[in-house]
Amino acid sequence: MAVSINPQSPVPVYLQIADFIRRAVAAGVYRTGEAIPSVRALALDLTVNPNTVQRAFEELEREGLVEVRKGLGMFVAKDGLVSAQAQSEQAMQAAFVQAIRGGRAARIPSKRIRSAFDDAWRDTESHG
Amino acid sequence: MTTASPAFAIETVGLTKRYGPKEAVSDLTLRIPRGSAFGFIGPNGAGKSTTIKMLMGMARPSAGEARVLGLDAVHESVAVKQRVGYVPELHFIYRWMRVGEVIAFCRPLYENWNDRFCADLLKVFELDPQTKVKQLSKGMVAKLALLLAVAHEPEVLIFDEPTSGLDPVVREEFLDGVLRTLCERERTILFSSHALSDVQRIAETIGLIYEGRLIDHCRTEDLLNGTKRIRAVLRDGCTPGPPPEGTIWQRVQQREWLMTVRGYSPATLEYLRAKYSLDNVEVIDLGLEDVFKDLIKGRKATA
Amino acid sequence: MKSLLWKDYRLNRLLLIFGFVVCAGPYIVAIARNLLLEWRGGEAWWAPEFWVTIYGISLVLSLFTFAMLGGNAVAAERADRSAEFLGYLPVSRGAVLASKSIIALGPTLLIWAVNLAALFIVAPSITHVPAADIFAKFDGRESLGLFAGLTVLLLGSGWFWSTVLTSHGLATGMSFFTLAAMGMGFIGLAFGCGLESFAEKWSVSACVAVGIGGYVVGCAYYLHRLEP
Repeated sequence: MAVSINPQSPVPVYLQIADFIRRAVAAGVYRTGEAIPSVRALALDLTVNPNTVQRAFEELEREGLVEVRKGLGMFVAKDGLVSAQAQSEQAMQAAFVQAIRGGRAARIPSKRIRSAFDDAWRDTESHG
Repeated sequence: MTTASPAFAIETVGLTKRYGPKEAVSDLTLRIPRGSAFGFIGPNGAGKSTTIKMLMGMARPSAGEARVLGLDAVHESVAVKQRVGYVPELHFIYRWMRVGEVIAFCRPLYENWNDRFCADLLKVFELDPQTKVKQLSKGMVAKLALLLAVAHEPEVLIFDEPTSGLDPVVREEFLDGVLRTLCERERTILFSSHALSDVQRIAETIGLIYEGRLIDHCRTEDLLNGTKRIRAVLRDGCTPGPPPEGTIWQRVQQREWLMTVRGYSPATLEYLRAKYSLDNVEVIDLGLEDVFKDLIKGRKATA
Repeated sequence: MKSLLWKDYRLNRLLLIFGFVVCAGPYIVAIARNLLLEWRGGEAWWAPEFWVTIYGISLVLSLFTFAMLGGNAVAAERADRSAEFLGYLPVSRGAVLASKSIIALGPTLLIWAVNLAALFIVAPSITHVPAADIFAKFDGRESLGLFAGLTVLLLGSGWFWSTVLTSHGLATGMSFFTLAAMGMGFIGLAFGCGLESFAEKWSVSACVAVGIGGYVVGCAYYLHRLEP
């Protein structure tokens, strides 16, 4: 996984793991029909209890991101990519909402909050 | 000879320590200005403790020199100890003495012992003067050691893994004690620690030691801002090759190419996009612990 | 300096108590026994030989005290690693040695003073035999000379071993080993090379020389060394 678990975060570890896998699918690391790393492999890679990884898988299965193929493991479901991107869009939306709230709490005028978005867009275009 | 007011609180030039054929510290050159907070990080056995011992005049350098407040660490060691507060990793305070007796023992040795500050700390740390040192818990001993280190108003604090083995509450009490003394007046602090969260809280500058050598020395935020992890998703048929400049660690798993780049800039992404056929590129911020791990893993891989 | 003296005294307190018991004990026990005998109406033996025997017991036992005073000096603090704590306090190595020297030498001189006082002040006043006669009776000069030599040897070599080793038990043991080695050397000289009179003449001086040499070399080494 590209990121490591943050044990200090208030977000439970299994949800962090689910988020990593979701992001990996959305980024195109695992394509539809491809296998996700096994519970054991992820547990070793992230240095967490395999039961926690299992919980993350169950969460993703519930979402429809992955499906179990008996005896073979976890695979990205047919609508997995769509589901992952939908989730990522929701997370992005939530991040925008939080940023706007932060701006309002600092009493920044609405016009400036809106133009801040354009500045940020330009920023990512040039700096990545 | 002693200098009136040297610019550097701690200075080492080409400091080397050999134990037989092995070099525990190799050609270490470090200059820590007065008033700064310096975090010394590195894997176990990298040479942090040995360097600190040489600064405290408890080990003889094989080559090079070490100066604290302009005083030679070996030949003017007693004068150095007057002005330095030292907290070691392992404590060997006389176990048969009571807390009050330890303080009474240390007090006359120092020129600048501050009784009031000492009494304040005793209260804050909840140390009972009548308790024998052997009856104190590990956390209490650490707090006593800190008290002894700061009660004589040192200009420089040198800590070697001071919070190792302490529970989170005691660790916070300890750091609280450290900060009380840092806030009072200009003090220089050098501390080595594996608790990178402590380092992030207190250190302004970080020095990374690996196998006896200083391999990185910069401000904490520069290290964090300048080190990023990149996830590049390769298009089918594209194979990874030379990574961007400054890559300290990388890993390829099928189409996912992960790398950690020290000295990240927009040019890094330009290079990747230009040279390789990528589906996606993502830049990820790293905490100090991840940066540390990748720096070390990368070194081990190239060794 | 006072801090150091107090600390070294406290570190050696048990040993000092042992030393006192072993030095004064024989006198107290013997005198008490005599007094008890007299109180019961018996005849107590107060002859000069009585005093000389007690003095012998006391000094022989005290030799252990001297060896331990030497052996404990530096190594005791290395054994529990409290030397590492002392190592980062602003005390000069010279001051550390001075304090330890006082704590080692002081009780030694005191034990000797007690014995000499018993022999040359108390004994004559009780037995009404002049000190000079007592002295002559038991080859006093040779015996005192030998004990003095052994004292210096055990104290000095114990001190030396204490500065180079990390175990005070071993340092004390090595001081006895040094004594044994020298003893065998002299026996070898005496009987092996037929230099009996030479050996007798020089044994005490050799003990003193080795003891003082051990102290000096030990101090020099300790002052040079940086590790606690």
